[in-house]
Amino acid sequence: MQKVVKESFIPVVADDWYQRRRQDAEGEFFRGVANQGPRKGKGGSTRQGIYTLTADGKLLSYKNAGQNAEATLDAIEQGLRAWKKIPAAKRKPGAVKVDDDPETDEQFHRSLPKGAQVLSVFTRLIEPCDGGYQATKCETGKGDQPGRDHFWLTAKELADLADPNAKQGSTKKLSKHVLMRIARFHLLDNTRGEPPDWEDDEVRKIEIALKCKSADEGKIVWTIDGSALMNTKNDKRGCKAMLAGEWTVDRKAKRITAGDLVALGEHWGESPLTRGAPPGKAGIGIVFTIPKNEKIASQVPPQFARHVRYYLEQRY
Amino acid sequence: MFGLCLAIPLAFSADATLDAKTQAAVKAAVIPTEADETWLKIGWRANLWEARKEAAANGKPILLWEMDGHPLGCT
Repeated sequence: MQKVVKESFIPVVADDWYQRRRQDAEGEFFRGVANQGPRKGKGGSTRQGIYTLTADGKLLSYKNAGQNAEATLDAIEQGLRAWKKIPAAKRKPGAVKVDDDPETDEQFHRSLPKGAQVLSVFTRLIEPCDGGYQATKCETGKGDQPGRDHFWLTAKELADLADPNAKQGSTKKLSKHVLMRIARFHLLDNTRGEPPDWEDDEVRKIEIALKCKSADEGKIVWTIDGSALMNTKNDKRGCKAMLAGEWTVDRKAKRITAGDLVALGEHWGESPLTRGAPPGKAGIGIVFTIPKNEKIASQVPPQFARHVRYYLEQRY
Repeated sequence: MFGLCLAIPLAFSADATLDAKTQAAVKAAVIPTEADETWLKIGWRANLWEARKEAAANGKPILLWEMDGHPLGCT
């Protein structure tokens, strides 16, 4: 299937929550395509699925496939058949003209804030094994893959990490916004879908201290140490974790250039969109790390950045 | 019918420490392996408008994977 997709299509992914709402040329284009199929978004409902389409907006095939490989393949094959029925003159390179960079609806278009940095966040339920850890065995689609998200640090927060006064042994506390961003939106079990974020008063404890391990003209190495506890009022869902790691910060570029933040703890409970949690308390590991593909990572906002100020500063 | 994780021993205890060796072990268990990321080898684009331009220039159709929750950024 990969070969067919790579050779025959331009593959693209999008978050339907934004696409079905945005009031701009891209939103109109997408809704125009979706309206040709069964997902017309009645009442603002989801239009998610696998679509094949032409560059000028003709729907070729649609399946509500989710992560179902067979349904996806079916949509691909059906789309290719429909594509080949289009006259060659309309399919040839350059036959369709697409406007350059139309204005975007900033309310529903998220991009990495200027000067900010994105880290990848991976989450898995884990269990001890032979002196180490391994992913807990889960059914396909029910936690067998890591939860994936992105974490943003703003230019101001990065400048603070590139502290010109830092020297070996000096300490630093992360701002309340950063602490709460980590606790509320990232220390949770998102391995089976999208959980709710922790409410402000569900964060019982979040402490993270940085200590300067070394500093020279070019870089600072911070060691990270902390702990966190979040739970709902009835304690049906919660997470308790230790945090540790190391960040190397380029003082001039004001960027984290190496290192990870690691959380290890236990998580309990589930939510309507994350059913199938193990009973009781399960081991959980969460890693904040530099993305392998920063360009792509910077185009995919954190899950809870749908309201960006709420994500960054926990207020509307 | 919802699936359940099959094994649930605790990974955390009050006297546990998160030293460098443990951090490395957690990272090894959590960060996706190459096998986990086979689907990323497709080379997904993350901008529909840019994909339109590329499809038009190359004479190809578009495959759009649209999810509530970004396919490259959630479960």
